Amino acid sequence: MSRRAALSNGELNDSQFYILAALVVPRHGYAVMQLLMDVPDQITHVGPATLYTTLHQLVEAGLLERCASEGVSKVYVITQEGRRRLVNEIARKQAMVEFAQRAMEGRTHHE
Amino acid sequence: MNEPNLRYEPRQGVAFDETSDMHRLSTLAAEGWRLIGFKGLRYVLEPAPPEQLIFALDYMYEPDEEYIALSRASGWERVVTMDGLIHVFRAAPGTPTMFSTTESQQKLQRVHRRLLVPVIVSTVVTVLVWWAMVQWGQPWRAQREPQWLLLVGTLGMFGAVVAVQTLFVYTFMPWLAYRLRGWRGPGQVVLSSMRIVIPLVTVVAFLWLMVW
Repeated sequence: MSRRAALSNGELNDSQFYILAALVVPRHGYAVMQLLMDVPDQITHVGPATLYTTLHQLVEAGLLERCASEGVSKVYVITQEGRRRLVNEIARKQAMVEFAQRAMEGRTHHE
Repeated sequence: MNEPNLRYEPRQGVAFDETSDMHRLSTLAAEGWRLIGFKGLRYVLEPAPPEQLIFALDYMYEPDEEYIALSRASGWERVVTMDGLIHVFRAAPGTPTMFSTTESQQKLQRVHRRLLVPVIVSTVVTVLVWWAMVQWGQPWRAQREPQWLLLVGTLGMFGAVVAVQTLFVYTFMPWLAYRLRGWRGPGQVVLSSMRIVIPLVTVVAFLWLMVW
């Protein structure tokens, strides 16, 4: 299974989702990590090994691009394709949450 | 040759389960032994002031400096690297994991893919060597060569068999270990039995081939 194939099912895993969202503006890897550490109530911890791997995966899949280097740290930013995937994923996650919330409140979709 | 003042600690085999190895390294660090490298299938440690440390292992083929810099920035210092692929990191107790809470299997997928070609190559070589022995070994023995030549030939063939079987075991077994990971109960039994079954089958098959 290639890395591209791992991403091509349309869903982004939690780390990919957070990292793409953090790179709507250009940032270097360390800045992404700091930003993710500051997310309140964050359930998903993204460690350095996962961050490094995921950055490379997303670049390879064409969802991120490297736009500069600051010493050993490279600067990444989301691509148009990455933005499209992020928007889809936000909509998908929103629909999931709304469904679950309605269910918890005892309301069904058809009411 | 082993250096004096150094300690050599056998590796359990990180392909099967690295957590026990990493706990062992923590215990050794607390006892005043610092990891400085690998030698074959052993960890090399030197005397050092006792430290409370935790260890982690990652597979990443020839990563660039960004990998090390990101790890360091989050409290993980690389200690040693083996074959440009296996990296051991250390950190203070309580440092958040190097991985993520949900995608810890990523590193296994990476190394699993890297092992596939060596597994195929070693399997083909193993089959070829056995095939060649069956094909030519028997007629050659039947020619009633001088005793010493027969002995040398037999030892040579045995050496070749041991070499290919070793290659096979060291590529196939880790590959199998990754395949069976997550299928822990039965998977571990299969793995443990393979450790005995493969050498046993090799020796029996060889003896059978020579005597038959």
